[in-house]
Formats: sequence, C-alpha cells, structure tokens
Amino acid sequence: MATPRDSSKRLRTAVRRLTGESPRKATHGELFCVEVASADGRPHAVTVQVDTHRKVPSKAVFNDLADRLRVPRRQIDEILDGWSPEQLRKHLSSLTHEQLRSRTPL
Amino acid sequence: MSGSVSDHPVAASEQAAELGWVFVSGPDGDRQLSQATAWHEDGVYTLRSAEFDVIAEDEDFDVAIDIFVAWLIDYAALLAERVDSRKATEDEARTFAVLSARLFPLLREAEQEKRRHIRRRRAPSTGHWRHQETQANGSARLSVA
Repeated sequence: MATPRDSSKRLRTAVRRLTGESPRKATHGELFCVEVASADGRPHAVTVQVDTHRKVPSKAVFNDLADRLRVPRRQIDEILDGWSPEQLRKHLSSLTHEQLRSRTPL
Repeated sequence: MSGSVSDHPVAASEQAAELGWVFVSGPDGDRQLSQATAWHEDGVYTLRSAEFDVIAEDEDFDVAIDIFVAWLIDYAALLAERVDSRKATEDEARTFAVLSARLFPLLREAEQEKRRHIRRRRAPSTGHWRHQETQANGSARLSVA
C-alpha cells in the first residue's frame, strides 16, 4: 500500500488531511499552520512545511515533521495515517507552551 | 539570491550534523541568514535551521542552500501575513522581527542589485554556507552532536 514515504505529493495529501488546514503555497511546496491553546493557556501556532520539489521525501523530513508536531519520530507514520485533525489539536493542546516550542526529538 | 557553495558538510547523519551558518552574499558583503545544522545522508544534503522552522534538502548542496533561502523567505511571508492580520502569536511576532531584520536588507540589496544587473548585465548575488569557525568546535565539528 502506498504511504507518504513513497512520494512528496502523498506526504502533502497526508499533512493536509492531518492538519485540516488550507495550505499556503510556497516556492517549493506548501506551509500549514495549526493554531492551538497550550495546556498553560497560551496561544501557539505550529507551522508544518511540506517540500514537494523532490519526488521522494527523506527520513529527515519525517523526523522534522514529528519534531514540529511534538510526537515520537517512530510514530509519525501511524499519526499521518490515522490521526484526525481533532486528535492532533487535542495532543498539541495537552502540551505546555515550552513543550510546544521545543524541537528536541521525542 | 541563487546559491553557490564554498564548503560542503560531510557529516553522514543528523546525529553527527555540522553546525554552521547560511550566508547570502550581496553587494554590501556577506549577510548571515540563519544558523543551521547540515549533514549528507543517503545521497541527500539536509539543512535544518537551528533558529527557525525551516528545513531544506537536495542531492546538490548548492540547490539545498537555494531552497533553504527560499523557504526562509516563504516562512517570513507567512509570518508577515499573520502579523498583519493580528493572528500571530507572541513567538511568531518575535520570530518575524528577527527574521525580517535579516531578510529585508537582503531583499533590498537584491532588488538594487537586480536593477544594477539589468543596467550592467552582471551576475546576481549568491548564497553560500560556512562552518561555524571557533576553536572549540572547529576541530570537533564532525563529532557526534
């Protein structure tokens, strides 16, 4: 079965579905912005970048995506495949502002 | 602001990534855009900003730098829209202030250079990468981060 790791366009489709957001066109792909309130009550925006200039995204792209969404890198495939936009927002809203700002891999 | 490279990263994984700066050369000299980590894994160069949510990759490091610069500009444009529409968070507004302070002089220089280029038919300015040169990390830049 085809997955987002197979092509940048599939990854773009998966991120569109996961974020539930309309993308902003960029020179080499699309940007998605997910706005949430953190667990400690501060507004936060997570920006997700999907680059489509290469046909197949690298491992680094998926790791970067996981870091931005503050999910374990090893789970990014199942999250792209199975989470709803509501689940993503619930997850992000469960984190503190400092946790959301971090880019340390989980 | 198309790119050329003076120095390629040789680190073979993100864990061993090299720290450096992405610069853009203009008529008024080099200007730093972003601190970034860089590595070359499975035939692909990856540049990841250490300051902003920007990543770029390509088989050609010159191209990866150009794409990195383009993503930075696109990210700044997104932030500008959010600041203008009063949707920006505190973090975004702060990031936009930092990023725009670096980008706007470059864009102004690029525009001026473009005008000069049209008049003189000269080559456009170029971007490039430099390792962060300090005694502490210079000799150990390939060690595990």
